[in-house]
Amino acid sequence: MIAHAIFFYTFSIIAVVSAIMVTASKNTVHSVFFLILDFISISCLFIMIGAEFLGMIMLIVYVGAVAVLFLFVVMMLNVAQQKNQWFAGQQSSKHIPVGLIISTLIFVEVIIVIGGWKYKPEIFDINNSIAQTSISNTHSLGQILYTDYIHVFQISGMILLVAMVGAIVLTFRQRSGVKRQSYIKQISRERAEGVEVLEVQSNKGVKIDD
Amino acid sequence: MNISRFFKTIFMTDFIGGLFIAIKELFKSKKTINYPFEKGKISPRFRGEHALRRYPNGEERCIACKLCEAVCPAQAITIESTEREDGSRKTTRYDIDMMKCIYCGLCEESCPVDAIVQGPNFEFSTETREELYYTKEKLLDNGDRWENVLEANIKADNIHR
Amino acid sequence: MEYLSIVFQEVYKILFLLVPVLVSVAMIVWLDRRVWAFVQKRQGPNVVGPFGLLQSLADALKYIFKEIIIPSSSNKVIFILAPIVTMTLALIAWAVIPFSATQVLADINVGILYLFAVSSLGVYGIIMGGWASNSKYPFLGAIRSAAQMVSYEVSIGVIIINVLLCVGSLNLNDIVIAQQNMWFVIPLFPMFVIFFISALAETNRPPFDLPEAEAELVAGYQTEYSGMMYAMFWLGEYANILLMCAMGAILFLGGWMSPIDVYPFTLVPGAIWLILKILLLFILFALVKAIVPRYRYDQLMRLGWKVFLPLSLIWVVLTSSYLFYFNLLPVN
Repeated sequence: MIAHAIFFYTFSIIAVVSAIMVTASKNTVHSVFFLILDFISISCLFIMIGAEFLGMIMLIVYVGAVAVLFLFVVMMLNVAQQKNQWFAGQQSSKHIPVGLIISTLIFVEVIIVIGGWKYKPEIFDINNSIAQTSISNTHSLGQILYTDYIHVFQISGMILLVAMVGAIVLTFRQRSGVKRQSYIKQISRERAEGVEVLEVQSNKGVKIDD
Repeated sequence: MNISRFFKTIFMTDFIGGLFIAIKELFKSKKTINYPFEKGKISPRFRGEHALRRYPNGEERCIACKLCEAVCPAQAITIESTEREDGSRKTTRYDIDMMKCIYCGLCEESCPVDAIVQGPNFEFSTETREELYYTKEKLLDNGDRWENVLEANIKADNIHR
Repeated sequence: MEYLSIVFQEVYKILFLLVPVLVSVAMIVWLDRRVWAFVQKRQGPNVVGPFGLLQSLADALKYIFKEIIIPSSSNKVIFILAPIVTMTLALIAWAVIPFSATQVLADINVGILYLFAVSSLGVYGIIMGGWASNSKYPFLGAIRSAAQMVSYEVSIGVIIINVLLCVGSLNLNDIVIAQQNMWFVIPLFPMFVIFFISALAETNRPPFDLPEAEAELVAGYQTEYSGMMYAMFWLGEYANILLMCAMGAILFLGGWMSPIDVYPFTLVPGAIWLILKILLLFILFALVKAIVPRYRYDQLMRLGWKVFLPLSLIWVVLTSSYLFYFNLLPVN
């Protein structure tokens, strides 16, 4: 039990500190790396409470894909200029009040959720929790997700699909006059189309038709 | 795209054919040799490390005509000469800077008495640059050491001269 | 005291797994170079030790004694961290590989997800190394590999779904046992081919070695690295290749099970069958390196997104409808 506590506090301290460092570090790329560290420690916490499926999905989706794309974008920016002119006071900080309001709102919401869970036990029936059943939590997640909440699940998938298609439609532009390579053409070239064997007579040369 | 090409692409026949060729080549005999332990055959005309030869009686062949010094395109050769008591002209200094040498073989070709030759040795790498500045002693020593091979090479090449 | 003894036992188990893995990584580098040389009718490394078997150890010794150069304009912490991340990630994945029904370090419920997650984290070592070098070629290599590895992970994920549909469990041992009657390579052969090609792309092997394309990018993300740090990248890369081979062997070739279920074959321990299967896949990796030219970058992206992803998705639909129609879906 002590070992469990030690691991829990290690991971949670790392998670909190790196979450703070995401906003506090002056280098944007460092922020993303701290974000990754945060994701990883949170997935460790998920695994510690027995939700190994969620933890692994967290690793695969957030760390393996989303954060790579974050890094991809952030690395393209000019990091030297990005070294937070904000802290140096070179840029006006109009966005601070907006950010403060939003973060206060989120904080209040979190308090309401936690309070509701703590003082109204029937919201989340502890007896149905995965830790007490014999089947693995992958199975139990699947059984809930694909039976009771199948419509919600499908709709959320649809929303993601629509968002993806929308992003492609918004950014896609057909440029005319650009030379493109056609893979089909390239692959389907046969030897007969490209090569011709000619009998060349001495001192005559070959006449190329054009 | 014609239909056979389509199936070729789908079933990756080109790739599988290549794979079988690779597996076939895997078991064939190797075309390279195991260099430091085995060596390839070297032509008698091979232009390797320089050597100064002697006559069979021990007299050095070089007559200090300085043709090699004059012909050397890299100006790697330095010769100083003096007259000996018996009236013959001999070198007091015969240096080849192997760092400058381009191994063109012109010195060997210009030599009227077959004194300076390029032998079959090509493994004379050193740890310092100074060691690659060959003096007369070093060259004569090379000549003594490789004389058998050098003589045989000159003889083998004689018909082409 | 009892607690300490448990810890020591675990450390002993981990060493018993990791030391063979590291040694076999060294051997596999030798095998790779040797097969490559043989296809090209060369000798390959054959001087150090019998048949040149100790070549990798000699190389490692050379790397240890070389100077580690850290570019002055690099981001030092991340620069040093990158090879460590690569190697650690390549090694921790071995924790879940089952060598027989009982010989597995961590028999966790979500073994295949763990393997997939760890292999998808492998891209970070490359990105970190490329970015922290603060130099053009490594950066280009890192950008390329980020896009490449993310794209091919998608198809590997869908292929894993194919296998999971037939198994009904995420546990690697269950996956192996589900292949008792028939290896999945037979019913899912197209998926095996796509998995193999995606694994080539995922581990930056030729023909998908664009992150380190010598002809264009010097050595890609490794350009600024030297000495032991370079060697760690190199070890991590080959450990990843071995891991991908192990994953292929477990998902499609029946893992630790003997190919035929008859008496003399079943006597051979499972670990040996698994190693043989890994070796078979690895020799294929090495042969592919020798026979195909490097892909162009746009061709690579097209292959990942427009060919492999739709194909594997279609195969998911086919597999699940087949299993559903014939009522073969695994239920437990």
